Amino acid sequence: MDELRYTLITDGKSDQVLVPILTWLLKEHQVDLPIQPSWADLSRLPYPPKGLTKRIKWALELYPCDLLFVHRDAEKESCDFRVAEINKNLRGVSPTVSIPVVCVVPVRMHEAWLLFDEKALRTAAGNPSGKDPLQLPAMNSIESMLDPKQKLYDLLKAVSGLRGRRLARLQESDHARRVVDYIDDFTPLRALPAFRVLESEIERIVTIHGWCLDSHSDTKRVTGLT
Amino acid sequence: MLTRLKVSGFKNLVGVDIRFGPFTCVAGANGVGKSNLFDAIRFLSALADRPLIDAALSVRDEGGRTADVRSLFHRVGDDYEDKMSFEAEMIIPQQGLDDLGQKAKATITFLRYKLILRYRVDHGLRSLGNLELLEESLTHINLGEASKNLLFDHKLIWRKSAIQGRRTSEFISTKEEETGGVVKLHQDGGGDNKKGGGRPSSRSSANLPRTVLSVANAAESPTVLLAKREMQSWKLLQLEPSSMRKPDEFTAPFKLGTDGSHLPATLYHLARFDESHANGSLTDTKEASVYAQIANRLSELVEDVQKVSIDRDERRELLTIYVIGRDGTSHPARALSDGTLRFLALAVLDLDSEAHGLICLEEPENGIHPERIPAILNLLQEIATDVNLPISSDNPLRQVIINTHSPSVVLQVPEDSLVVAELKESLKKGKRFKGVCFSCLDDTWRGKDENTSSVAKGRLLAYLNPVLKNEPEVTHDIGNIHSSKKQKIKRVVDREDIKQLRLEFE
Repeated sequence: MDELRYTLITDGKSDQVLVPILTWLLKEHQVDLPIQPSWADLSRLPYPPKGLTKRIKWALELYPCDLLFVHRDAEKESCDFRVAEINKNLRGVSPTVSIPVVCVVPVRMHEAWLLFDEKALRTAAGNPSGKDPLQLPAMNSIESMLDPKQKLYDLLKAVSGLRGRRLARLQESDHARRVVDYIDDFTPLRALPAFRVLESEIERIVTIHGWCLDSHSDTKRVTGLT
Repeated sequence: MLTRLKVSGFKNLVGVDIRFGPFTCVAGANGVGKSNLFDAIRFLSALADRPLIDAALSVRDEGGRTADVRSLFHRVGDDYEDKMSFEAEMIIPQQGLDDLGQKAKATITFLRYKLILRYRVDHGLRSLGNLELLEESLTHINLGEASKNLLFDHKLIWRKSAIQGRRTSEFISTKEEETGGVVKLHQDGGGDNKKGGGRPSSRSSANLPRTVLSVANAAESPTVLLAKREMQSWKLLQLEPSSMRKPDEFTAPFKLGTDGSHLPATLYHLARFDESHANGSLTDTKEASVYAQIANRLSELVEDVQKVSIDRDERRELLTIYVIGRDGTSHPARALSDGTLRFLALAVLDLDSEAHGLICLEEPENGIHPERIPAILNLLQEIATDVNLPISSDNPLRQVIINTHSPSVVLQVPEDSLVVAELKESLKKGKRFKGVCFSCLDDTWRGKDENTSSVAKGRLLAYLNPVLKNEPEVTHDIGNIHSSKKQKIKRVVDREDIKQLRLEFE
């Protein structure tokens, strides 16, 4: 294998911000292959498939890959419930999915994962050296927040430095998408249980499939012996 | 004809290996490196024509005044690579003239040219850096291997007419010697199969201000000269309406410039001079037929074309193109639209059997009504050589590469011609960087080369369905800054009456 292609299936368009986070995690776990991510954009299909089973089938058809990430926000359910739900849908896909699948289930919604980097928020809001006060939620409270998306939007508005008509016209969703581009290090997210679950699953898959640096040297050692 | 190009270390082209047929359409998003591919082709062409440094500056920003040649090298962050390599497989013309008008005939017409350049810090006054040639070679590709190297579908009669000759040794080679690299230009007896006698001429590579290929002449190295001629013919056509609108003086060159200049002179020459008459005499029937062909061609784009003609103003000594409408109104070139002029220039190019080589063209769809896009695509494919017929003055060895963003272009070019450019990550010495990668559609000829990847069908969706069904809502300012709210803007496409007219209605 000379590259690792992964495809991410998400609930909605804005969830594609998970791509840099997933790529970061893969790199953190020493994947020593070029990583080629794809976000499965199914909204452009003439009849966008409804239901996760169909969406997985279409995503694999349109964006062939070696590793599949399936994202569902937990919203009002528990993370375990969502994971079970994804797995049930996966089993319904025919032909059977033969590549590894990792569930990405943030508590409530992914925006919770973008609330920790002040500089990134300010830059994404278009006002990197703004002085407006910005109170980031405490890391341990993030997963219990009711509406992290609204929180993110509010923060972006608050630090944008815009007034009047420009503030009214601010497209928070566009700016929210930019936040992730300004974050180089997602380490603080390791404080969140849902994130840790994702990370350990990625670590497990990467090791099993030998995509990481260590496993390569193992292979080399083995071939060296033979 | 450039049949394959490998580039590494040039701008964002790293490990690129791309094959070309007579007509190629490169599609890709903004900023992925479609134009860098054209720059690489232009750079190679310039290297065959002028000193290394001038070639580098010619592909740098316009005018290249402030540019460091280093900006041509691939870089990650602030780290520049210090080497770039090119390998081109090409079919060259069988005959041609050198700069002194001497005739040359190629020993063999299917060649592989390889060039490796290095960045050299220049402490001189210019301090823009310099280029050093590390390796240059020109070798032949045997007739027996030709079919393996030409993957696109073609008829044997075409191949036999395009690829001819025999050769057993290289034309240019580089050897590492004690004093450093030495580039050798080997003797080449020419097309009459005379054995190339005499010693090769050797030059120290470190001191070469230009490629050895670029100084070839007909007497000593006719094949190398013709390879140079082929490469010089690789051009990026940037048709500028302002250049095309200009009338020509009587003395203007009758070759279409890369900016579309000398359109009137080229058309006038085509119409007035018949190559079948060696003395350049003119025949009225020929003249009428050339103008009629151009008018017919142009009518594929604009409806109101009765005639195309050149007005010869004896007093001011100017040639001006006129397009005459059905009602007899004549429009001078300066009154024609950008799209019409561009189409006209391409139509003239198509008729000019003297125009050989590779034409790169950016976004041919610009200024063309969606309904007329098939017409311009058709014209571009006709400019390219027909690989089902032998090469002749009717079917010159010409090639066209276009790039585009347009769904109407992508959906209507032949499936075999489509190449999709996308950014892909590479990993080299522990460093990750993105470079451009060219993929093809499943089950098309490029796929015969196992190194060419197939494009994921999902990447084509933006071309297939460029308009999203449900655009996200937009903040709509309703006049009062305190009461602005989100609301959907009803787009043209959202109207019920329009929906019914669209193909993919539910």
